[in-house]
Amino acid sequence: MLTKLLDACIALTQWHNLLWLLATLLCYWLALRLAKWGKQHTLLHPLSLTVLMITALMLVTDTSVVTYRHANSIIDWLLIPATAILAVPIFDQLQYLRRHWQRLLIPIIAGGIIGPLLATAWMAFNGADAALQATMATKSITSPLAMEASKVIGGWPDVAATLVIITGLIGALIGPLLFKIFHLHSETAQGIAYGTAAHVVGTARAFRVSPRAGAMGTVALCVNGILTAIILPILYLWL
Amino acid sequence: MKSRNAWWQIPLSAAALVLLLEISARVAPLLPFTLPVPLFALFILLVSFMLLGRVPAGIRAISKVLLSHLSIFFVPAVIGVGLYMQQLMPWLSTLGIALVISTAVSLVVTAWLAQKLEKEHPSAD
Repeated sequence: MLTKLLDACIALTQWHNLLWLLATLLCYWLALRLAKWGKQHTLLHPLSLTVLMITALMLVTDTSVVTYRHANSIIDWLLIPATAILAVPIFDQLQYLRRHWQRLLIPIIAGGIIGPLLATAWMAFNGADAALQATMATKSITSPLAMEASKVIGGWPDVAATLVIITGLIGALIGPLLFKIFHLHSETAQGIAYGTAAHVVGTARAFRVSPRAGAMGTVALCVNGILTAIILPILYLWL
Repeated sequence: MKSRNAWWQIPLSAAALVLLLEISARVAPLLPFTLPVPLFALFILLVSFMLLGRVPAGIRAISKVLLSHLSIFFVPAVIGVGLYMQQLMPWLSTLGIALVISTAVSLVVTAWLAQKLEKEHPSAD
């Protein structure tokens, strides 16, 4: 862990690496401004905007994926503490969790199983290979956990991260429509669903429904992420 | 609360976090079951907060910065997909259908169950 952090810092002593890191930060900053200007519309998610800008820059400068990733390994590394720090929002909701755990746990587990199961089954049915199926199994949990879990069960961590993000965008986009069609008006229920099926991107959408919905989304994404990250590797070892 | 928020708590908490991650990376593989390193660190943090009864000010400050900018940490990973593009190309439409259907079903099932349980066990608040 420390060696990885040191390596990431040493990489930055080279000019072109430092420039690519600055480019990432600048693109992210621009993406934040653009998302704000577009009133935080789901399609204008800062992540997809940043990735689009970076891809364009890489094409123009003819930079390889490997070079870019090496230059930005410090950002890669920060994903680890960013995941561990999810302990803070969980701790903040501990009181509510203690009182209503069964009301939260049952829907989260149900939604957390049915989503990946359907997606993996569909891929298997269409003849996808084991690595792609394994990658699909982690798609509804938050990216850092999904990457770790898919590494353990023999998937592709980078693809897992992308599938997770696309899942989040889809969930945040179709959620309001689905909830209207099926008469699911409870804000708490919507929050739990967003957090379970669409992790961080969904939770951001839940915060726009109400603060309580957002808090439920945070808990749901943490619980589903943790349960999936623990259970999936065990399942794959047995099967 | 404000007086507790001394500036030196942030670098101190950051150092403590890095140390915790280093220890987690060494201890987690020794466990009898597979547990991702960040998750192991998450559990240690959660238990420490519970024992302490609060989140230290420095850790909370760091959590605010990291969690409000979660998106940027995924940028290198998403760019990394370029390496798998060849394998993924033939699967794009199948992947798309799988993602839309499974997300929709998961959203509806979760919200429906949560709403049902909420009506059966209404809370005081």
